Amino acid sequence: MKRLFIIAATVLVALACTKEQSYTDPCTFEISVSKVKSSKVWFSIKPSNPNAYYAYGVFSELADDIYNLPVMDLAKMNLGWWVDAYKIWEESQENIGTFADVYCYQGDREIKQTGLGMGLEHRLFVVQLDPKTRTIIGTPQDVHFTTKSVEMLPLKFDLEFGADRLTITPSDLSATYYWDYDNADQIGRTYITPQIFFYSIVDLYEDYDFMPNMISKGKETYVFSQNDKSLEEGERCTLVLAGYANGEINSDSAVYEFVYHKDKPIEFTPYSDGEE
Amino acid sequence: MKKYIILLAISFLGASCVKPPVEFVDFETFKVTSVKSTDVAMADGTVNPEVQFMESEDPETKVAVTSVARLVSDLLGAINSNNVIHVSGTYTGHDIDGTPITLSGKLLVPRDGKIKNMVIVSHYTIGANYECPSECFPMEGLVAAKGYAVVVADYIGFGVTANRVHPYMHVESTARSVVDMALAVKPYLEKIGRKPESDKVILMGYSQGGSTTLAVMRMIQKEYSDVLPIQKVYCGGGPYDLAATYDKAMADDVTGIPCAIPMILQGVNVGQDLGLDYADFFQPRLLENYDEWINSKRYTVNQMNRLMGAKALHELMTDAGRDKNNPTTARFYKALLYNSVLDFQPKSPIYMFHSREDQTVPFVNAQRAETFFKGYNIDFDFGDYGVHSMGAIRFIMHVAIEL
Repeated sequence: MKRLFIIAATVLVALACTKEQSYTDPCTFEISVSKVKSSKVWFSIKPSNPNAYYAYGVFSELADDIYNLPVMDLAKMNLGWWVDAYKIWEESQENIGTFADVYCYQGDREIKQTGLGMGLEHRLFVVQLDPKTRTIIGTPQDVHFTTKSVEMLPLKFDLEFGADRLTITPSDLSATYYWDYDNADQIGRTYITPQIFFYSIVDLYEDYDFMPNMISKGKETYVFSQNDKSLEEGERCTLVLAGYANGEINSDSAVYEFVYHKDKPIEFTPYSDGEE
Repeated sequence: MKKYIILLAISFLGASCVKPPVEFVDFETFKVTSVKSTDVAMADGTVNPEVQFMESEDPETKVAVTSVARLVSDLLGAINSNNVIHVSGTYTGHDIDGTPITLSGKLLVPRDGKIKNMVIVSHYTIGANYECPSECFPMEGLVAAKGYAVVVADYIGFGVTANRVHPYMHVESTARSVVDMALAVKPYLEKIGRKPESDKVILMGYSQGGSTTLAVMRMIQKEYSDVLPIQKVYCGGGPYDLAATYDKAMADDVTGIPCAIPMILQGVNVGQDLGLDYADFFQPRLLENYDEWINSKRYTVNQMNRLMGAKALHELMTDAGRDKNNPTTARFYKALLYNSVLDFQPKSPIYMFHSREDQTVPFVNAQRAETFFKGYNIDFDFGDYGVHSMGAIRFIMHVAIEL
């Protein structure tokens, strides 16, 4: 019986392994950076062979201990991280794809990478992989780019909450800014911090070239019941505001919590994550 | 939420979805209104002409006939029961505002043999009420012959609620109609002794149904994962990213499905109570006639498209309606963002199908889905599979063969 189990287990392992794709003919890549902002980069990767699997990584100069490594060493180190991380994911995540699903691409791709540091030199490398054996094929290639610097404004916001309404007065009335709010529990469940919620929303609108519609300037009064029919009496929300100009967030964000009331003044407090 | 927003978080973060509060309803409410039995295949081996397939984009071209014949011959090789029982019925579901409402739909089960799983179908875009699942033999019902209980809700606006505007592409209410029916049918199947062997459900939908299927998956994962555990999801040709679909249509100044314009505008306007004035969006001829063309539920999609008489957007929509930076249109566009369905982590395997040649639901939707769902266990089947209706046949074939 024990032997049968071993055979069955071996068959299962073999099946699991065969799920991963394999392609080993080496190819080259055409890497082209098309647009750079303070925290994002857009680039295209065109492999000479559309069947080749490849992955990419981006490092900033802040990672000074590895930033100047030879590209093959950088790729090897990353591959080690990917393999280790995938093993953890495989055990902890539901419905995880194959190694290739998670890390690899095939064919021509236009990719946007977010979360970069402002005004820093970055190195983007592309490495061909065989997902089945998780080994490097050929020689990795890399390009350098520098993220934009943005002059940060010392923008502050004066908030005045009344019943069913909010008036925002920025410290610089000529400055443009973006603000948003959502259910506090929802944000807490979905995002690590309210700032990440904010950056995600801004990123979404930028992706759809819709940000110009969302920008405020000067003093703004917002009546909740006229604009947001989903808001409920007593609902606790998180509010985030920050300067925004020329396609970039250009001030520190201000975060508040408020409890919505239609017929009495809305209570609000600066956001606290509960840590001293 | 300040402005209706969807949180299309790119990382593997959780999902967010604003929805109205949902009142408790008793789901053991499935009431049978009619029962009939239908053979899937005729004596000569052809498919029963009663089966309602998606209309071809060009009604003059019988392009789908060969494929349909193949589908049936493939299916016939594996069916458990050539005879399928159709049970039309009503159930208590939720209205757009979350209050209880009586809705309708159809359950299809094989006449003989055991039932393996419940297949929860979200149907594709229809126009005429006679096309709604409770009134016909929907094409997805074919898989019932392979030993499945196929549940197809009519959605609000069809069947017993045909007098209502259909909240087309308002994903929350549409998905909830589908989930509510599955919850209502589950105890009914047990009561009639046809309980599936597995509690796991299979989700399936093409076109509008593809998008709704992902919304159903998201809803079940969030609210009903204990009672409706998902085995696998099949979605095809879906407008998963409505904002990207709008952008593509506006850039090309053309749409493959003109009737979707008034349907989407009405659907999200009603679904989210936006208070939009259609005069800001529709050209005069459409404004004058949309209620008859769309809301009478007398015309199929092809008929509505013919009545509208144009595919160029500038002939159907005002300049302001085609400009998302117009303040009024911006409100509509935000609603499109809100009604996209890619903002969650799929916890079950998905088969996602899309033809690159699809002009009705552009391929950009599949590309967006691939980007958002990268890393999950998803079988992306993208290829040059012909026009939208041809894709529907290929999709159904794939599901029927795999099940």
